[in-house]
Amino acid sequence: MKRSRLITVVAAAALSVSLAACSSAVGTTPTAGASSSSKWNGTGKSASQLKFGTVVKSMGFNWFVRMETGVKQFGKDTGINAFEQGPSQPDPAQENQVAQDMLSQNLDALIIDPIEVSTAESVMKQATSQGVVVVALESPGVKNALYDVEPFDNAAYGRHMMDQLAKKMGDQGQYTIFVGALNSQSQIAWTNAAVAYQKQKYPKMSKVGDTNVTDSVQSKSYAEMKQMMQKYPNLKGMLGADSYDVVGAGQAVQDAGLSGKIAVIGTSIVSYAGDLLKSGAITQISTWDPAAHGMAGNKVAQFVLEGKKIATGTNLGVPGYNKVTVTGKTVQGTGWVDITKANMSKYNF
Amino acid sequence: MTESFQRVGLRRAMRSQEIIIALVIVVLSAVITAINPAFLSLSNVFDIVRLATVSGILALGVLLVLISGGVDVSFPAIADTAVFIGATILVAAHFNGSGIVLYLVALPFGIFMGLINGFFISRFRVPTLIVTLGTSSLYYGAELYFFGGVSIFKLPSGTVDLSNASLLTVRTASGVGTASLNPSVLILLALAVVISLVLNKTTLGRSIYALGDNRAVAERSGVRVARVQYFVYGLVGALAAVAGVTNASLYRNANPISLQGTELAVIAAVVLGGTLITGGKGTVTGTLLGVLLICIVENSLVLVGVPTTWQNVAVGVVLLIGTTVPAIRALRRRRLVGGV
Repeated sequence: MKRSRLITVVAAAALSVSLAACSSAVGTTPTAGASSSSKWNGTGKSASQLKFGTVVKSMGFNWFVRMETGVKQFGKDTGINAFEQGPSQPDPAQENQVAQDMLSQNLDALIIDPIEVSTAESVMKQATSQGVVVVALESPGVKNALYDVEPFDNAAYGRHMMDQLAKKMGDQGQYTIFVGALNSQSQIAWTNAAVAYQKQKYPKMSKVGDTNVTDSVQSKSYAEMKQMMQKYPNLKGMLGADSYDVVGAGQAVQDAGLSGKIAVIGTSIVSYAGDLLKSGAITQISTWDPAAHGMAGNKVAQFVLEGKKIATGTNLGVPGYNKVTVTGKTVQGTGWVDITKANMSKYNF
Repeated sequence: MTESFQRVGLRRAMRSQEIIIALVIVVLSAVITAINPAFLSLSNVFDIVRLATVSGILALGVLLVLISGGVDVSFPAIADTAVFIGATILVAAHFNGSGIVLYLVALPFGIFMGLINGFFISRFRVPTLIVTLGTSSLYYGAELYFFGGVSIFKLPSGTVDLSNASLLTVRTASGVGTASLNPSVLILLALAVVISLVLNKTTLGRSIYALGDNRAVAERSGVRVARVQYFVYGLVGALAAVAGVTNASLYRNANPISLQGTELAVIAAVVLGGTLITGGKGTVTGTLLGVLLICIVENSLVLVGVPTTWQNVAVGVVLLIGTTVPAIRALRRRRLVGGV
């Protein structure tokens, strides 16, 4: 009893010290992308001597299986030993364990897509202290990584989606907006940007009704689209933010016999929207390719070890990351892909 | 003598609740039609029927449980898990035939999960709400752990055909596009008839009412409580599986958590239809009317021009009104009796 309590006290003390160290380190760390590349294990090594590990949320999702193909492709292209691992279940503690196991294998770079950034900070800090280059994915505001690689800027994505919708609608007519939840920051950011952009660039188009909220439930998206068509018989377009939105709305359009007459466009993936895309009920979906995302993360690590500069305008040599935007630690691509009936077989995830 | 007297009074009270809900539906429909005439169009009616089918089948199960004096919140978990396991099996077997097969494969899993509920409830006499809260979490957890969380969109072609099937296709009110009546509503109607017959024409059905009315009395008069409970919860599991498969067929997707969170709205619809939450009272007609009312409210906000964010508020208001009115009437009746 006494002993375990003693351990607790010691552990707590150690924790508070390390926390203090952490906060002071954050305070004094210079800006991201430290130029002194000499502190890395991998500096000066040839490609075949390098080992890059990518840790993902879980290997149980098609999404990360797809990312692995990009990581392997990176390895093939560069000669670097690049591999991907992740827990079978998306559990933050298990993900840290996977990263820790990797660190014991003489890693030169750790690319990590954390389930929970706050949980992953500790393992990222440990990696950095061991001389491993740490690059995070999908983690804006991350502290212990050199860079965070994001597929795109939400506002730019929203403008792009509106351009696509306008093209299919001939720059005119009524459209409606669907989102999964009003508190989904990214979905609201890009739909707001899309509507603002439409008002400015496509004055002959008009948003009808309020933004439809679907709670990411396909049957709600279906029912709401059916009603929108009843209420607005001249409806010509639908923009969906949640990956289930276009699936429900596309089926509603198909059931009404209006495939191809109403443009259904939004964020989704082929494994959800494939059949409706093929039948023409869904016009086009957009997503970002996890393969390219994983490749870009590895590429950033390679740039760091080669002492190359990463700044706004840099070409990472990965589709969608040919002209990145760098703000603080965040490296943003224009990494969305537009998927139609014609090219859907290429994006099998 | 008094017993039959009471029963007549009870039946009259149930009837009157059904009439009230029916009146509310008529008035509400009139108001919505005044705002947007498209509401009463055949195409919109078809959409509402489609929406009400899955909730209706689930509601029949809830009706049985409430009459027997219990509360079940695990039926969405049973519905989702049964169809997800069924779809996983069919995909693994590369089955691509009739849509009925998914029903047949999912059904035993639904019944099994229902019987697990029945086991804990009858054997250990744990409160039904607690048992089903636990098993709900258990079923969803086991489903996600053993079968993964990825929606199955590649369903057998027969199942996909069910979603496209039509009993009757009409042009929409505006003349743009068509609407069709999906045959799945026949499943709901058939099950409603069967459940109604079981409840009213069989000894077992009367035992369910008796159990919910007063367990001690029911036991003394020879009702085998455990057997009745196994029957009720097994049947609820079967109904949930049918609802889950119908849901997956309609939307061509076996989503592992599709119906998660729908339990309260379905229970509310059943209570709205005059079923007593304390047991012993409830009808199939009232239940179907309650489901219809909730679906009309849910499916008309866009037509009326109310933002969909208000959906929960609107449903909540209808529920409060629909359940307080009978309560007030009951109070008044009691006061009258007290006065005599």
